[in-house]
Amino acid sequence: MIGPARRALLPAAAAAAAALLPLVARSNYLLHILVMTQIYVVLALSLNLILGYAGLLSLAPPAFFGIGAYTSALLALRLGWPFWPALAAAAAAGLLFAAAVGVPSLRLSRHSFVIVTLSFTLLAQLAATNWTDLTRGPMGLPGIPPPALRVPAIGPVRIAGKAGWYELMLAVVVAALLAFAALVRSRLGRAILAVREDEVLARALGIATDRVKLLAFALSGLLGGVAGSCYAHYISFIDPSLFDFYYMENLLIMVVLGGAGTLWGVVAGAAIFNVVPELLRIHPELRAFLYGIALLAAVSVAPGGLAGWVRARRAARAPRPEPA
Amino acid sequence: MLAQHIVNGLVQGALYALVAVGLTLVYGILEVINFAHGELYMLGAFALYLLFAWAHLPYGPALLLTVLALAGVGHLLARATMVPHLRRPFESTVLATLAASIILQNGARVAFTATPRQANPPLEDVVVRLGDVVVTGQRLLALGAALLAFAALHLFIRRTRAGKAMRAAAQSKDACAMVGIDVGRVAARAVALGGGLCGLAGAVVAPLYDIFPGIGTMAVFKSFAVVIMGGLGNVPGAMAAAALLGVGESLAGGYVSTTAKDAFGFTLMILVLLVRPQGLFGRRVRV
Amino acid sequence: MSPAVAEGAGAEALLEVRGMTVRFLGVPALQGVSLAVGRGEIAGLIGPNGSGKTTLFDCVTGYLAPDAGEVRYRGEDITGRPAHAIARRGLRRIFQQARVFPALSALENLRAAGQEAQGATLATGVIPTARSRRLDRALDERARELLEALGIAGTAATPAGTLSYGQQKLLGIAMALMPRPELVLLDEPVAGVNPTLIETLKGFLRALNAAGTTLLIVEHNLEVVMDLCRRVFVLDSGELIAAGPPASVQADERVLAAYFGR
Repeated sequence: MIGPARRALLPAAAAAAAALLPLVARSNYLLHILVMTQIYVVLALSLNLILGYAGLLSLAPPAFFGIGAYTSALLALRLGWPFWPALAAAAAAGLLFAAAVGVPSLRLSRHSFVIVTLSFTLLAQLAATNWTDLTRGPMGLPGIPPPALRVPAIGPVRIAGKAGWYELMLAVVVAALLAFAALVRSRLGRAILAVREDEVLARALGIATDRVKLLAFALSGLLGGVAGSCYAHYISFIDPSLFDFYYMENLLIMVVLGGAGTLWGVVAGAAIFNVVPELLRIHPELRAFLYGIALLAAVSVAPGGLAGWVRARRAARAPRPEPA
Repeated sequence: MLAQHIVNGLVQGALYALVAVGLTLVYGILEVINFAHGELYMLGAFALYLLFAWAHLPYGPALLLTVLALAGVGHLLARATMVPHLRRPFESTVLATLAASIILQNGARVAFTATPRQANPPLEDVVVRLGDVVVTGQRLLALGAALLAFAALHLFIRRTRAGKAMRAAAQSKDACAMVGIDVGRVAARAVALGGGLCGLAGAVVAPLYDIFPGIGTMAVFKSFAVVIMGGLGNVPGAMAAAALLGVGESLAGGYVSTTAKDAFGFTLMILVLLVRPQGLFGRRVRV
Repeated sequence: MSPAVAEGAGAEALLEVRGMTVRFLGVPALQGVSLAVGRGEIAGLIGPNGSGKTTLFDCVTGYLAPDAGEVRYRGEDITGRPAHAIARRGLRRIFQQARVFPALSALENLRAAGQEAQGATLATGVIPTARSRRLDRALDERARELLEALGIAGTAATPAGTLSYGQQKLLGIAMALMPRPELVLLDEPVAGVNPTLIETLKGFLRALNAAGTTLLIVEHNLEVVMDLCRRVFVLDSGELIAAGPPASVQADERVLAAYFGR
């Protein structure tokens, strides 16, 4: 068995290498792809938590993404909030909306839950489009200010360049992954997995499954809000198209093909499906068509995605225990 | 004015019903939500366009061929995405049908581009007046076709063996297995039936609006609302809920605002679920 | 409740069911069933298929709300309370089909089974403290103790889904016992288990009872029931038709008619 210190070595080395990447990769274009990947990793973690770990298909991640983006943008533009408080508020908004939607809908059947979360996203888009006094509707919100970080002894530093954003998002992603990993290893994480594996059994063991599902959903809302806020301040322009179902489809492909219910699988999925489109310069519709085929193939043949496939191969080579 | 709104709403409701009935029928049998259902409607509209406006077939035969073609597509869809997942958790099927939706919608985009098309069938310019109410011929045709289709569906389910097999499968898959009814085949037939109905819907609606690859998305989302409100698996319930949605949207659009019209369906659905999770007419499977 | 049923439970009835009635679509599954299980006894619940045994379990353990009647545990009315709340009160259920969490290791299964009873908040374990570490250690010790006692110690790290059916059944028992429950309801504990294992299980259950756990067992294997149980309740078509020591129940005409002739 690998000791915990040694197990942390590989991810730590990867994080360190990642932090040094901008020294090597000067291309703004490449850095942009990487920053978008990082934002998507956080959003993919949101879906991963509710689908991969709690076992509930939710079509609400774009809603939390959009709500986080608009919350953060409006606080920055209308009230002059700095980045970190705006991010925190976006996270809180995601959490609260998820809780509000979750309370009535998680007690419904799974099928109804899917459709209610879908409806929530559609209604959120309608609100963003039509509540023009607040959101400027289809014209969107331009000019969202980038973060200004207070560095001791140097003073405020504006994160304007791609390299700066890359490092900032790297910090956010690492924090999100660490928090996610801690959650999964905790008692709550164990309860969430129990609910996914067998809800009836979980209740017989004293686990308050409704509360566990609500917590998982609320936390997934929080992650979505964080991703939305980062996106808003990075791209500096948002509009109601953030809520398009198209983004949900992309997210599902990242999470399912990467490996729902795993960490590195989802990170890999987000990376692959942000980088590949840039390498594969084909018509977006053709690309989406191919994605659809990949998703269908994965769901039918390799439901665990890339990570599941790797795990199965590793297990096939490991010795089996003696049956009783 | 009110009567006009109501009539418009009922026509729209009939169209929603045409699309939703297939969806709820499949749910009743397989307990899965077919996310590709809207694409069946979209393909129906495109099929009619190709046959009528491009190949210049007369409207009647074009309509008939569309219905048959979409029944076939529905059957294939079921075989590819639903039957293999019969024994798997439902999320698996939802993802499979969602994948099919992506494939079909983007395939259509690649094949036809996003440019909206129009089909101009013979009844388009005919206008019928009933008192203060004005209805175009095409809309009346749509309403009539829908009612005929429902009558035919009712007869099919009640009188034919295949229809009875569907009712049996909707009540108990295990019992079907025991008496030798192949649930997979029944399910494929149900999806084919739904496909045919969607094809009909696409064919009669196509001339009313623009035809482009994205029309399936909102159609299926609205159908979800109808199916949930009517009670999952409840065919008469879906019809009633569709009428309610159509009329409600029409009134909301006429008296409140376009936003109210767009939001009406989903808001109503959520309210219904809060008060009666099994839908307005009960979830008990009824075909 | 008839005097015979109440008396048999002794002064301390741990579990009382009174007038339990359940109807599914108008068809009665349970009709006015009353029984009581005394603290420290092993009681059996038998009856032909469809007699309502599992329905009764569902009502007692909070998976089903009865149309009429009540359930009392340690004197407290628990009728219609949610399943997880009842499980936390010290009443545990073991299912007929071996149920485990397949993707988790056997040890993780046991941790999940025991963590609620420790009373720690859900946040425990996210931030390790001295207290949380102590609780985790206690959880693991208890888990290993049970794995040893049931003879499946070697499976601790194995994903529960890959275990054999017999191993999963044993793991299911271990999971129910993690918080040292007062009352365990077992739904056909020896169904699908090979004969050598049955004797081991019987011994295990006897030892468990001797250590203070009250058991209510539903079983089709009448030999096991007659051997283990001090008292037996017999259901037929949703009604309680006999209650008493195994010998008297075995000879009861109504019971014989229910099983063999009608």
